[in-house]
Amino acid sequence: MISAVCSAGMKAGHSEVGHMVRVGISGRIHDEARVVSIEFYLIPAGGIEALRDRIASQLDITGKWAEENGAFIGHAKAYIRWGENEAIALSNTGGETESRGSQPPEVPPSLADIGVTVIAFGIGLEAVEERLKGFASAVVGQYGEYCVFEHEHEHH
Amino acid sequence: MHKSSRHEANGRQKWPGLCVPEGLGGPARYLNAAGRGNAAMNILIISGFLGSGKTSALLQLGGHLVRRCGGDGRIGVMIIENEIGEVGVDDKLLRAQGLAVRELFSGCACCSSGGDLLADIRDIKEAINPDWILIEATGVAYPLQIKELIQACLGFPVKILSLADAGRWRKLRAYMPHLIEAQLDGADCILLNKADLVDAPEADAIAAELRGLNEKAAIYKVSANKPIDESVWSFL
Repeated sequence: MISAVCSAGMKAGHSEVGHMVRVGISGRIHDEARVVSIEFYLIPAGGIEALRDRIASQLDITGKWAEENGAFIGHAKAYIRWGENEAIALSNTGGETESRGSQPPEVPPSLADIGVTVIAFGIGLEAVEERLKGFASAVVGQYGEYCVFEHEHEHH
Repeated sequence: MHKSSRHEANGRQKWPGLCVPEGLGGPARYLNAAGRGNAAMNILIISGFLGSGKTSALLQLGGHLVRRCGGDGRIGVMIIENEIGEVGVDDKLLRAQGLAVRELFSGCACCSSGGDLLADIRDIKEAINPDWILIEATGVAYPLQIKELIQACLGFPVKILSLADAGRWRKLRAYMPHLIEAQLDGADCILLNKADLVDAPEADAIAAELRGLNEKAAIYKVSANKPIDESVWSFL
């Protein structure tokens, strides 16, 4: 379902015609938990640090969104990976987003692999999915690109 | 969502998602695995609610056990990372720290992914035979169910390390008491993590509650984002 290939068939969701990023989104229900994940690739113009800050900001926004909607975030987590074993993990369980992992490289990599999972309680699956669509759109939009979502629903 | 390697019902890959540290790959790994003969393989389940610090503790415990297993070139510690979401986050971090990780995503090992977990353990025993398999459970798992499943089906010795989040303890216990308490059930050791986020009397009060929920476990107050005293791991 996830693909790094854009409509023009080029890698990284970046084409000469579309600037489209395909974002895989999946949701599932596990007991009382609503679990939603997104995954996509980006060309991280401006470097990994800038991308990390943008994702951290969206995780903060997700925490506030949950509070405003009477939901409880079990966790909101994300990773940025740019090499086989080069990755940063970010997490928010309320309060400020924490970041750890590899040092961002001085030279921006040609591609970054991004994944986000939010596990929330006390709110509907669709609402969490909409929040994560907003998350992806905000991050991708800062690179002048736009998202096309590919959906997969799972209910357990 | 299939960017990462996943288990397939048919034509299952031999090592989906397995990351072997550089220099340990190839046939030598299997020779080394065979070299341990029938030595007992131990299993530890790391449990705790979402955000309680399981991965932070695992990073330190993994390093401790790797050192304890000796540097003879074989894989002494294998991690099975179980995440309920389609996207694995913690495995990237563990791999970035040089640990050997196998993914078990998209389901919880205490219920829907129990069969996959057993298959993974069998595969690891056969191919690597490490001293330790560390299973990081999902944040909504019931660890005692996983332990009972492994012991009933495979017969390996299993211990449970549970983490409790001091900073969110009151909130979590009010919001989902059954799950939070069940995650401490049967634990051999409980880490009251993020103890620095509450004052000393509150940490003591939470520790007393933990003792009330589990009479036998060793209980330690820690902050897993800082070095944990290695004596904590003496229960292993």
